[in-house]
Amino acid sequence: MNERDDMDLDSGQRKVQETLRRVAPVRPDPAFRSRLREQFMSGAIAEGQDLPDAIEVPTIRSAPASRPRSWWWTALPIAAVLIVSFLVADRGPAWRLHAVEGSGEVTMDGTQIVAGGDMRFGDEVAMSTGDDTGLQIASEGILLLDIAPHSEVVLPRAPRRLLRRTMTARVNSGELRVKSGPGFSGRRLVVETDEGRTVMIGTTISVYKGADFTCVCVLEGIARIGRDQDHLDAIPAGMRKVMFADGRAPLVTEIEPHHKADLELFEQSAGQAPW
Amino acid sequence: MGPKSKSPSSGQGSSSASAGTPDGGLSRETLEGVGRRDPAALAALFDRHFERIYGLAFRMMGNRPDAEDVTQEVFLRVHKAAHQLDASRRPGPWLLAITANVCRERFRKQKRVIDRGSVSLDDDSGLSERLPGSQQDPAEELQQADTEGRVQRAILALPPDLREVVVLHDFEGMTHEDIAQVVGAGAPAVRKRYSRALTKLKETLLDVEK
Repeated sequence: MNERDDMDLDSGQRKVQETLRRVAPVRPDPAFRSRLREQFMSGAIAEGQDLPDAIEVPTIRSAPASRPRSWWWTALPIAAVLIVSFLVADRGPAWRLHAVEGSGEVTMDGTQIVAGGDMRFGDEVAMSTGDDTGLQIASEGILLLDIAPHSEVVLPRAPRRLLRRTMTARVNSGELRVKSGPGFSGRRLVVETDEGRTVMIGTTISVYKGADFTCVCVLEGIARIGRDQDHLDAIPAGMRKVMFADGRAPLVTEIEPHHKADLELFEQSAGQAPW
Repeated sequence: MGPKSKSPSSGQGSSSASAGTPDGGLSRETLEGVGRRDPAALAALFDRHFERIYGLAFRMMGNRPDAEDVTQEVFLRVHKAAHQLDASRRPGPWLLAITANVCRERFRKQKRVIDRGSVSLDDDSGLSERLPGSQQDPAEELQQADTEGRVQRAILALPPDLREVVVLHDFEGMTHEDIAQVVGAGAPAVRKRYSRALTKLKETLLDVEK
C-alpha cells in the first residue's frame, strides 16, 4: 500500500480505516475451494458452459508514461525557442559602411574588393586599406571606426546588447580612430597591438601602429593604456602614450599637433552625418 | 483475504518477494503454462489468487452463496480466457478486474438492490466462519462479531463503485494506482471515491459508536 494514498485523510477517516483493517479475513468454505480448484485444474469448470473461446476480459492498461519524458518533450521546444529568442535579442546593430575616402580599394579577409554600400562585415574580419583608401564603419549609435589609408586592422565583432559586452579590435599596422556613441554605455572596447592594449570605456582615440612602436592619442575622455592588463595607465584627454617594441619605458606626453588635427577632423566628420 | 493475513507479496504493488517474477511468486514459465491450460500451472494460479478473489467477491456481494457464484464465474472466465493472459505482467490486477466486472454484472442482472439494512450475523454464514476460533474469550468473540457485522453492513450500504475501492484498498491492500487499473478509472478519481467512501463509512460506523 502506498502511504501517499492516505495523506489527505482526516482523523475520522483514519479511524474508519483502522476499523476496516482490523476486520478478520474472509474464510471460504474449504469444500467449495477444493471442488473449484479441481474443476479449474482439470478443465471441468468449462464443460457444458456455453462460453466462446475468447471471452471478454478486462484489459489492464499500462501505467502512464513517466512524467519526466513528457516534461522533456514539452520543455525542449520551449527551451529552444527561449534560446533563439535570447540570441536574437542579444544581437546588436551590425557593422555597416558609413563613409569611404579615395578609390575604396580594400582587402577583406584576403579578398580584394571595392568598398561600397552593400558591404557586409562579419565578426572579427581582417581589413586592409589601400594607399588612398580610408573607411568609416559604424555600428549604429555605438561605435564609429575610422580606418586610415594603408592600414591593416581586425574589426571587433558586432556589439551585443546583453552578454559579452567587451569587444576586441586589433591594429597590425597603420591607424585606427575610434569614437564611441551614446549606445556604447556599459560596453568596452579593447584595441590590441604588438606593443600593448588600450581599453576604452567611452572616448575618442586613435591607435597608431608603427614598425616598432604604438602610439595612442586620447582626444576625449580617458583611456587605459599599457603593455598588458596589469600595466594599464589612465591617460586623459589631450595626452598620448607611446609603447615601444624593444622594451623601453613607455612615453606619456601631449598629443602631437598634427595627430590632434587629424583626430579633430575625425570628430567633425562624425558629427556631420548620423551613424 | 483480509489485511491481517495479506502478505506483501500477494501480487500487488512492488515488493522484494516479487522481484524476478511478474506475480511475486509465479514465474513467467508458470504463467505461460496457464496460457496453455497446463493443470499444474492452473493449480498454482488458483492457489495464489483464490483467497483474494473470494474475499473481494464476498465483500462486494455480502453473502457466501453470491460470493461463491462470483468466484466460480471468475475462474470459469479465467479458464476460458487463459490464452489471453499476458505472461509478462502480474495477473493479480487482471484477475481482480474480472472479479469486479462479474460483481457489477450481477448487480445489473439481478436488478436486486441489496437490502442494506437487513444484513446481520444470522443472515451471513460466511461471517460466522470468519470469526476466530475457540481460543478467544466468548465476550471478545461477541464484540469482534459485532464489529465485523457493523463493518460489513456499512460496506454493503455503500454504492458499488465506492465499495469496490474501499475493499480493494483496505482489504486487498492495493494502491490507488493499481485500483485505477482494475476499475478502469484514473488514480485521482479513485482517490476521490475512496475519500467519499470513508466519509460515508464514518457517518455509519462512528455515529453508531457514539
